[in-house]
Amino acid sequence: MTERAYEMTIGLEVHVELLTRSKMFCRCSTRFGDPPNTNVCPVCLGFPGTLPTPNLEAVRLGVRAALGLGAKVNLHSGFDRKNYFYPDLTKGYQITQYRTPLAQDGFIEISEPRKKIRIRRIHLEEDTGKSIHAGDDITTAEYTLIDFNRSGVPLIEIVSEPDMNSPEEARQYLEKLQRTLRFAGVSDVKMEEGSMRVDCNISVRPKGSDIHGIPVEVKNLSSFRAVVKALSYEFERQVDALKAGESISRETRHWDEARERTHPMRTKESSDDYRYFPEPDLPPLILEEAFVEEVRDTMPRLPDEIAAHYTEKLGLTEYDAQVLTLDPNLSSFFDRCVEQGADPKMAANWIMGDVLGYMNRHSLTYEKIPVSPENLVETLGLIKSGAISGKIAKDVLVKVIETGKKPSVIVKEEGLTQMSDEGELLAVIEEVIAANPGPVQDVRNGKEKAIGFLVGQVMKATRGRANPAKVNIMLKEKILS
Amino acid sequence: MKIDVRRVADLSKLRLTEDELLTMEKDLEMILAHIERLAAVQVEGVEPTFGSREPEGLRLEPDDPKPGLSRASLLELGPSTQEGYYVVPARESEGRE
Amino acid sequence: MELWELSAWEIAEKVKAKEISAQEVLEAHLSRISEVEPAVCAFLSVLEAEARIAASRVDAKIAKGEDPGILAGVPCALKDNLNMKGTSCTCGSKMLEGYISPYTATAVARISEQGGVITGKTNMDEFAMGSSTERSAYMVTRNPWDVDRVPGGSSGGSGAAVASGMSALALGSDTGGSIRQPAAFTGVVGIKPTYGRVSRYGLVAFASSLDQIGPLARSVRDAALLLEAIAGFDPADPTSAERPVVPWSKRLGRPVKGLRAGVPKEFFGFGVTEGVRSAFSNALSHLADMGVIIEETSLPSLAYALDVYYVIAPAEASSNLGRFDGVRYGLSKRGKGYLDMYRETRGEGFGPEVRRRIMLGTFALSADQYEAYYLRAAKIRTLIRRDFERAFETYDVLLSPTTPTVAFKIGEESGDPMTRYLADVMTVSVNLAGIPALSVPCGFAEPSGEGGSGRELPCGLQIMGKRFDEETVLTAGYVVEPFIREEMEEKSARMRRNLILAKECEPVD
Ligand SMILES: [Mg+2]
Ligand SMILES: [Zn+2]
Repeated sequence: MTERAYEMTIGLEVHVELLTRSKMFCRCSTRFGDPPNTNVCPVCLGFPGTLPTPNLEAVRLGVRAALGLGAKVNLHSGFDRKNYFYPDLTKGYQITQYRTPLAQDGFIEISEPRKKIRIRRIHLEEDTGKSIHAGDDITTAEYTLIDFNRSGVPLIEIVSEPDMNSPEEARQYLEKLQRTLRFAGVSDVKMEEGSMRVDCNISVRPKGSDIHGIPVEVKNLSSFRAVVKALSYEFERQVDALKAGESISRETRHWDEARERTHPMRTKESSDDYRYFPEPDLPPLILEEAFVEEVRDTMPRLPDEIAAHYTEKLGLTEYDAQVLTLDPNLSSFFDRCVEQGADPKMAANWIMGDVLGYMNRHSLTYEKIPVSPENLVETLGLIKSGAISGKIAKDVLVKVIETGKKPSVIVKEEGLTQMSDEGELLAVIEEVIAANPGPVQDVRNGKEKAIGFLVGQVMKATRGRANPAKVNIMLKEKILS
Repeated sequence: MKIDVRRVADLSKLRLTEDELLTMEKDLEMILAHIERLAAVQVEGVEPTFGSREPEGLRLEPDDPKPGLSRASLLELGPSTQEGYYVVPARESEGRE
Repeated sequence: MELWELSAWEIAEKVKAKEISAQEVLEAHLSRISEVEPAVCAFLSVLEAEARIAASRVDAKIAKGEDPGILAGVPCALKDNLNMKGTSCTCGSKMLEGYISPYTATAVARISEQGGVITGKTNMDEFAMGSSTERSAYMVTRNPWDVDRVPGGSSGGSGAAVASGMSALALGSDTGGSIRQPAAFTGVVGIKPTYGRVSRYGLVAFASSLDQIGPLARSVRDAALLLEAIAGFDPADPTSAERPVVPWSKRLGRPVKGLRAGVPKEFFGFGVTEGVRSAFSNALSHLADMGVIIEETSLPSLAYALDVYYVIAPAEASSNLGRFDGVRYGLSKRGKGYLDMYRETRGEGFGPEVRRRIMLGTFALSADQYEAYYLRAAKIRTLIRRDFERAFETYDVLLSPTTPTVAFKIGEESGDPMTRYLADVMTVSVNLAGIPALSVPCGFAEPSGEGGSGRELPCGLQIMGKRFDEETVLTAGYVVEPFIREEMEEKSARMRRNLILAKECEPVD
């Protein structure tokens, strides 16, 4: 049997940190990157006698995420305790929502193949502290350092149905999820900073079989690339095992980024029993319909809606619309350019080509778009009016970014205005004709290609300032008349 | 009611000697023998009471960060700390890995 | 009369009137402590320095003409599961030996705000699990009425401190009777307020849905005064109720004529001894004489209360005590791995009773037992609650003895844990229903089987009320006091004298 004779089913559990200023159950700051154990108090350190006080904004953002993902918000939900021991867990339990989640029955639509991935539930919970393993890695370290700044940061957990059938579908789901939550202003959803964390459940079975495969959970995935690689690896591993007649064991496996393989994570000595029970310190979470409606009314526009606007109203291609809605800062940058009079198609091309190109080369994130909409729009205006060529404009844009000066100032200071004065151009054209008798003859003989060479020579002589269209016409006139 | 004390001790993260396990098993079985009576109570259709009934819904607090306690004052209560971190053994448990 | 013999009410009045200073009151109590503490062993720590500062602040306030608060200069002891910044908080456990609390419980802060002077932390059964204060990891507290007997528990240190005159007031905590039972055993007044009435912030949790902080005092008025100081909404406790605080101490003395009292017959199926029964009937006939309408009634589900309690309380406790892991505070035994750290730390730090309840609770919550135990118990809890609600449609208060027996002898507890748990049988249902209840001394009885010994120990009357109706409970309790006032004054004077002659207690090994 070949691997094509097997199919995989993937379900994802995604934890996302909410963009609140204070923690889920105490008012310590959620600021990322502070010195260890500086944003802590007796509550988030689990000191005896302390009690949780829930954060309104966390609930609001959870509802917003739910609405953005098309889920139904449960007006009655509640918190439960998930009991387990781990050094970065301060109370011996995590406060989460087990019996009734904040929301359920949402979906995410992916495009290749076009299908809806169902979301089973979205629930609120608190994050744990962070363990830093001193020494090489988790297996050789002698001791672990713990920072509880993250302890108690609000999370939502988004659990999908097992509706994905390839690593690529999983990647699309995650990308779309990330994009939606970013636009909704729910989270900054950064896998590299851990504000988005993904656990995969994958099961494999012979194609067409109606028996469910044994689900295996894969953890420690720090990028979308890792998700795709880990899922592909697991698929192959499980297919090999099934082919060899081995059975798959239901277990949690750890993705080893360096060795690009998974290995079993936990010893089975004490299999998990989280002893869930209703959190006795917290009365039920009861939301008013009006609260949910208010969140719905103040919901920022989401990428699908914005992309539809771009293609339908602004005439952009589907592809352009997708790229510009990768990030809310990027799309609002584009929107502001259009608002300030830029031609949408032209602005899209310049943003996707030159602006994003520059950002890529300099590893800038969407939070730091290096040019202002005003300056980009002005640059585009200079091209349109014929004041500078498109080629010159590329250099001007880089200079605008690097100096912060206005494009018109740069053009003036560096004398980059397009040469359109016929007298000035004629002098250069005559020089070029004199210096290139061969190509000139070719033009006379009707070889169209030669004219391009001559235009290039003129451009070179004018350091790109000549208007190429005009040069073309003038050259032809001079040679052929 | 038979009770797997070893498993429960493991979930509870309590180290008990063999003698303690035996006594524990006896004690728990004695207690459970009493509690067995609950099985006979008719509870169909009865909603459970888990906790407080007032306030009726959870009060939610505004998202205004406040300074916590100083790191030094909390860390000094820690049994083992280093450069602002708490320190714990890295391995799961002895004799394995 | 010595200053330590004054009631809290009198102290506050006299201090405010500048008849005496808070510092004099404190010194009188500190010397009383040095006199009888060796025989009683009520205090795990005496906070002399802190108390002197607090007392001088009260005096300074009064000198400046500022309002010192309703507890002006009144000494108050705290059960050692209440956090007070900068002081120890052992919970009677080795797990927290040497631990210094980094913050203050709301109830404790309120006492200080009202001019109360915190004098020390009192002994308790480890993590409040027990009914005798013998299960402290540090020492056994003795009953001032008979030093060979237990003071009850788990707030036994608080009961003994108040009864022996070492403190005018004390705070305890009550999860299944831990204020009322020691109050009854030591002949003082104890109140378990309505769940949500007093903020739990800063009380080390035993069972979160049952725990309440409450006062122990030598009179109903004193208890009402302390309750007034500590009650009221606290945003730091999500289960704290937004109900106005009543000036209970000033509302006492209203007539009880026409008050309807029910006596649930189920309570008498729990092995109430003859002596306790007769003290109880005596109190009932006095109440009837005052116009209280007393009827027998029935709350059938009370028969299951103890069993329900011994599922729910350990389940919540097993989770609440998960935080003692040796990472951030308290005892820490380090092995090679973190699992060893947990097992060693918890195995050694928790005493046998705490370990037993953690095990029981872990079992009741485990995935395959949850429905049969925890969920089922939570449903029967609803039945118990409903029975009380139904009874309170007819009655203003319900009455019972606080305990089936008087104080038992140290070391006399049964080896069978379930028999031991019977000590809570009269009190646990109140916590399951979340209602308020008061224990007030209602007479004296000889221990059963010791008839003719002439040794008489106090008995308590339990008065249970509607949720948030502490006022009626206190009103009813207040009229019980006069029945035995003379006897109580005479016997307690003798008891307090005798204490000085009692031999010192020995630390637990
Ligand atoms: Mg989770
Ligand atoms: Zn905090």
